Amino acid sequence: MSVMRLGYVHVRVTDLDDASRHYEKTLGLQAMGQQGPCRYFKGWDEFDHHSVVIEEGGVGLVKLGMKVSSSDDLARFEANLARFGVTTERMAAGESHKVGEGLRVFLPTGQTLELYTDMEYVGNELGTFNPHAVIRDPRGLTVPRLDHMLIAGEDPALTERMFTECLDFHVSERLITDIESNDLVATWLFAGQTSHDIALIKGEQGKLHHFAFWLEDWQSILRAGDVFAYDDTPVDYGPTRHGITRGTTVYFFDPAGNRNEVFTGSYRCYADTPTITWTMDTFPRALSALQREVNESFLTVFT
Amino acid sequence: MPVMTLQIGAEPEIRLPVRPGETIDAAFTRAGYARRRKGCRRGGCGQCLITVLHGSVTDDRPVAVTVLPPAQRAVGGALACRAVPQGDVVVRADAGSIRCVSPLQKELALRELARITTTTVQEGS
Repeated sequence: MSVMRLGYVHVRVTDLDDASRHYEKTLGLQAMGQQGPCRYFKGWDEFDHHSVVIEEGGVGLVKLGMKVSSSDDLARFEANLARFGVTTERMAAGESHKVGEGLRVFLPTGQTLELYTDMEYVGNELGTFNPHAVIRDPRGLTVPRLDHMLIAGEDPALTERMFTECLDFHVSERLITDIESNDLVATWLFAGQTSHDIALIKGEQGKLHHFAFWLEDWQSILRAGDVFAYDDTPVDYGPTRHGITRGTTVYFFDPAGNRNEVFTGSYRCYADTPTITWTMDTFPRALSALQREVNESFLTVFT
Repeated sequence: MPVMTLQIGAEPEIRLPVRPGETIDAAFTRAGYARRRKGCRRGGCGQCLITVLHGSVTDDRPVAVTVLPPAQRAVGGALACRAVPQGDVVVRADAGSIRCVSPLQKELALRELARITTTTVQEGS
């Protein structure tokens, strides 16, 4: 697998201090400094310099980054993307703070994806020599790492093809309108072994639905809800379990209105794991296996 | 204490008290009303758009211009989750977008309104 993971998500926020409080105190990310209008954060179990970037002014997605194992893979991806007809440009080391050289990909759904092989290594908070198992003092949700994201666009099927044909992704689950017309509504794609590193949903071009952080277990998901009450973090829905991915979840909003999620459970994926298909008539159960209803904001709020 | 007059579609208007610093959203939520679409409640999605017909409001936190463009503000557009009334206001919301879900809370808010209205009259006399 040559795309290793979703490396970073870069979003706009209306107020840097409010957003910093959310990502640092509520989620428990480690603050990694400021550069110009941007502040950088990482989870306690992440080794690279950052996984979340917030930029002052507005709301919504600036770009996302995925880390690739080697420059040979990057060159192969570049050729694949050119053949596919997707616009790309080379990016120099340092164009994105602490990120090495790479390839900027303009997704058919309107977002900017940066593929890179290097980001400054800072290490996780346990070290790699006779480490402890957890960090000593929890902070907020103590999220260990970024997990996945969901983005919207007019043609998710085309972007899905781009990810599978050019970047070696596989599809874990697909939501289609109905068997007869088989139009793609949403798709869950993985390059690693989780159920999704990125998901795509039909909607307005270039939009962000959410980005998600991993938590250890269901108990931590419940505790997340408790922390949101303390911090007056608006909850979109949950804690509950998804039918799609089988993951347990809470969705909530950052202080600018960007949607976040904490997520766990789900299942392991391999290249030969068969794709699950859902039809839109079962969407309430696909979204929320327990309540089996679609809450009013899940499909209507994007930033 | 400011009084908010809320017009929801063609329903009879209701008058609700607004405590210092409360947003429009916070004031009607405390009075037992809920939005049909709760949205992000942080100014990012624009689902709580209402029109301020009289009086003025200020945002408690910055709101992105992409969500509430100046042209919309100029005609009274405001986000209920961010807008804090500066004195009495008259606010208009789309039919069915806000409804009472907790009658007892509404009753208590109306009692509070009666108290402050009485106090104001006494102060004035």
